[in-house]
Amino acid sequence: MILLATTDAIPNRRVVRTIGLVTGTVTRSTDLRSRARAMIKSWLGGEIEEYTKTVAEVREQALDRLRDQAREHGANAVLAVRLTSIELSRRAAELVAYGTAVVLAGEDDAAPRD
Amino acid sequence: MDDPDRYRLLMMGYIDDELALDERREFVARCFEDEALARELAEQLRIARLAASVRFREPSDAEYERAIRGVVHRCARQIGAALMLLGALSLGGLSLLWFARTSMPLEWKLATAAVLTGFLVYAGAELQARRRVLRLDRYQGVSR
Repeated sequence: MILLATTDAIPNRRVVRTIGLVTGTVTRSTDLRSRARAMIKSWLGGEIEEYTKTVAEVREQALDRLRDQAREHGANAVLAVRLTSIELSRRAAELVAYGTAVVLAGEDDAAPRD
Repeated sequence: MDDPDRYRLLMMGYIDDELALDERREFVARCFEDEALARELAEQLRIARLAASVRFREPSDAEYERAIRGVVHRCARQIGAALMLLGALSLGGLSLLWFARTSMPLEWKLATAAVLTGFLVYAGAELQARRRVLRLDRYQGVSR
């Protein structure tokens, strides 16, 4: 299991090795039918569930790819995780998840506190 | 590796479908050996399913689902979709008929037909490949 955290450190867990930058990038689009439904719904405003779903799919897939890359590099955690969107196409949701892959010691191996 | 805490962590990952293939294999193999762990997994899965079934639904979600399940709404959607499909097919047919009857020179007609047919064949092949990939796309089940 790869621990993901937006913080730079985990309480009571010591970083024993910093591996470096890992990323997870995804671009997904909605299908034609959902896009048509979304267009019609936007006439009256409110949440557009079709797009919400696409954004959620992108988020989960990008984080999974981030985990996969960290795992491939022998990490057990990714610190300072950030999500950022880019725009290549108006019909697709693009997301880059990135962070620093590290190896954390177990809780018992944590450095003693002062 | 016989660390009970490690297997408990793996169990959390297993329930959330977050394990890599080798971790998943290791955990499943361990469950076959360790009856207590297998029992705990069964209990945790039961709780996870129960929690999913009683998950809070936003009022707008519930209302939307109620609306789209209604007979009138379903009929309207199906009639609308059928009319759009029929209209598109008719327009396509009429366009082909017009194209065949037009006074355009034969070589122009052939070139145009080649472009259109080529596009349709290419798009068809691309869409067929996409459909196969989508069957394996586990992210389509993500709600939000």
